[in-house]
Amino acid sequence: MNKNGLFGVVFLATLLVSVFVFLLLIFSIFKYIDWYHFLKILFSKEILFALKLSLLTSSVASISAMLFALPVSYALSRFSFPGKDIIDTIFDVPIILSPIAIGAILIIFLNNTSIGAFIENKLLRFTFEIPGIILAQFIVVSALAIRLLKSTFDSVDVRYEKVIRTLGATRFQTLLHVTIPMAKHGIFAAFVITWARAMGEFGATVTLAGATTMKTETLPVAIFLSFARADVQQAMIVILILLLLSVMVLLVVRRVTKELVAW
Amino acid sequence: MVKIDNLYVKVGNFQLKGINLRVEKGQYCTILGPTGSGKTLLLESIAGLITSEKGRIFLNGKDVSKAPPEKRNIGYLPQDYALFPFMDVRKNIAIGLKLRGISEHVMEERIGEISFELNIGHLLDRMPDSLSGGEKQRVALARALIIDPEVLLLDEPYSSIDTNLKHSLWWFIKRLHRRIGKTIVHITHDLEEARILSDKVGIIADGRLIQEGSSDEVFGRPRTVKAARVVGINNIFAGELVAVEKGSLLLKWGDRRINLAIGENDSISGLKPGSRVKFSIRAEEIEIMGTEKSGNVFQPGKENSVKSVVTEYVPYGLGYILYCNIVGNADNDRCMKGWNKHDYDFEIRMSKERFNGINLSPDSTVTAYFPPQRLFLLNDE
Repeated sequence: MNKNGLFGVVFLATLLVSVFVFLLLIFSIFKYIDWYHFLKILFSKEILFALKLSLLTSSVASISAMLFALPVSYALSRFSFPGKDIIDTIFDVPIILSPIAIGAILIIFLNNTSIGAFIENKLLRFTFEIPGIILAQFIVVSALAIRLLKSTFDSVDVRYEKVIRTLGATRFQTLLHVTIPMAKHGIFAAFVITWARAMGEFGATVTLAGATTMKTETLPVAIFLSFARADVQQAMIVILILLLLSVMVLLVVRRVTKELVAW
Repeated sequence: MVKIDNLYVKVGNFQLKGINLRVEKGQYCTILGPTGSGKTLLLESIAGLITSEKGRIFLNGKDVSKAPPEKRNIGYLPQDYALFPFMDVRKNIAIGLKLRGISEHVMEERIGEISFELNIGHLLDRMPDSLSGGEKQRVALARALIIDPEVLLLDEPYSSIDTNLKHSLWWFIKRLHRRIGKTIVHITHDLEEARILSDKVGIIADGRLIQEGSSDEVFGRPRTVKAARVVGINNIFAGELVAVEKGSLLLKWGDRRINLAIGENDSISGLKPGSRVKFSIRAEEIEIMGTEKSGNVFQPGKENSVKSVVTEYVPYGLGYILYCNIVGNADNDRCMKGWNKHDYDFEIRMSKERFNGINLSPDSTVTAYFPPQRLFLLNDE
């Protein structure tokens, strides 16, 4: 076997082993699923509650995160200002910081500071409540949304914006007529990824909102609670739901980004 | 008409410094400069895409220095034209009118007129990615011209286009310019493009407009070392003034003397015997009097004649470029060492007929004649 042949074999073999490990992990859950009771558990009150709560909280959190991230990422992409690099780095912190630490910071902010206490007591209660789930998901995913949207805006060539400015567009019209249409696939992909990340968020959620059955029980919390009471069947079904959602999200994103490349 | 008064613009560490430029109504002006010289910055300042620190810009007599780009009424063609990829040709052309709130009816009429003028009627329903380079240019021009701009700004529109197609596009823009009579400011680093298209040429280097004038003047008689380099002149020499005689300068050039006829653009004020001077000649204007082999026309003693060795020659178009070294010049005393940045002393360009006529072979010794009226002074700045 020549050197190139060996080179190829080593890399392809590593690839095959990795695929095998992932498939093994995924298919291992099927072994534990009792298909006879599958529908009964799937449509049980608890799982339907967790599914609805997850859909609601992740949708609100990801839409809010996108609305917040759109102007922030546009500013980071298009404007130059002092301290831009530092601000850019600050927005990366929630991506790399452990979600439990984020949840703990939120608990301390809301309960141990005067602003936090004012919010908790006078405006909206977050600790151990559903708004807490949304807040935890929002903080975790908004940083991701900013990162994804910034790359999307960076990829829109400013020459198009310059041309439309000279044709009579104000800055806002430029955003509306050129930047957003050219970034729309990237914005959609960012939203789908952000939403999926919010659906799977556990650490910050459980720290801030707790893990109370049928109250703050999102799908990841349901897995945690199921395992806590040794209900492996239920845990596996929730895992399957999350797995299917992940695959769907990845397929959608892949399709959208392919269209983006074909552009 | 475009008038720029003492314009200063700063972006990062780069600065445009004191730009003064006047482009008359209907004139085709090319700003020529190497990469990083500030030409795009100048164009974007005219368009209002970059705010100036100081100075004023007038378009057809109106001061637009503080106006945003959408208020300047500019036609702008960037590199590769930047047609909006998500709009068909019709929408691309119409966007400027749409932004001005023009009615559908009038818009259709104007699209019809401009499509006829630029012969793109058959392309209106196509998407930009299905167009050829030439079609893209015409659509981009239609998009820019439909708003009836005061001035058309072209930002290196041909920099990534095949040489063959370039000529066809140059012909088109030249012909269109003559027909519509718009004022055009075009930036490029392509000498041929600037020479072919321009009524007027400005040379920009290190953020300064170092020379402006007619195309013949700028290409034929650049005033500074930098300008000479920008217009592709490699024959840049250093010498010492021996004497100012009537209508000419006697220069010491290495160990020989050379006469330079003072031209109307040559500034000799401040020069006195002993002053260091830089001078130049276009490669096309050096003559070869003869070769050592032919004997009869070899005249090494004649005024302004220099005995040289043709170290190498290469075809250039249908003619030739000869790279020559002066006989007797030591390597550490090359006449232009440090000035023209080449390992040869000077170059000559000549037609194929002339080249065949003198019967050269590599390392031929020749007499090169530098006509005094073709030599010109260069300022350091």
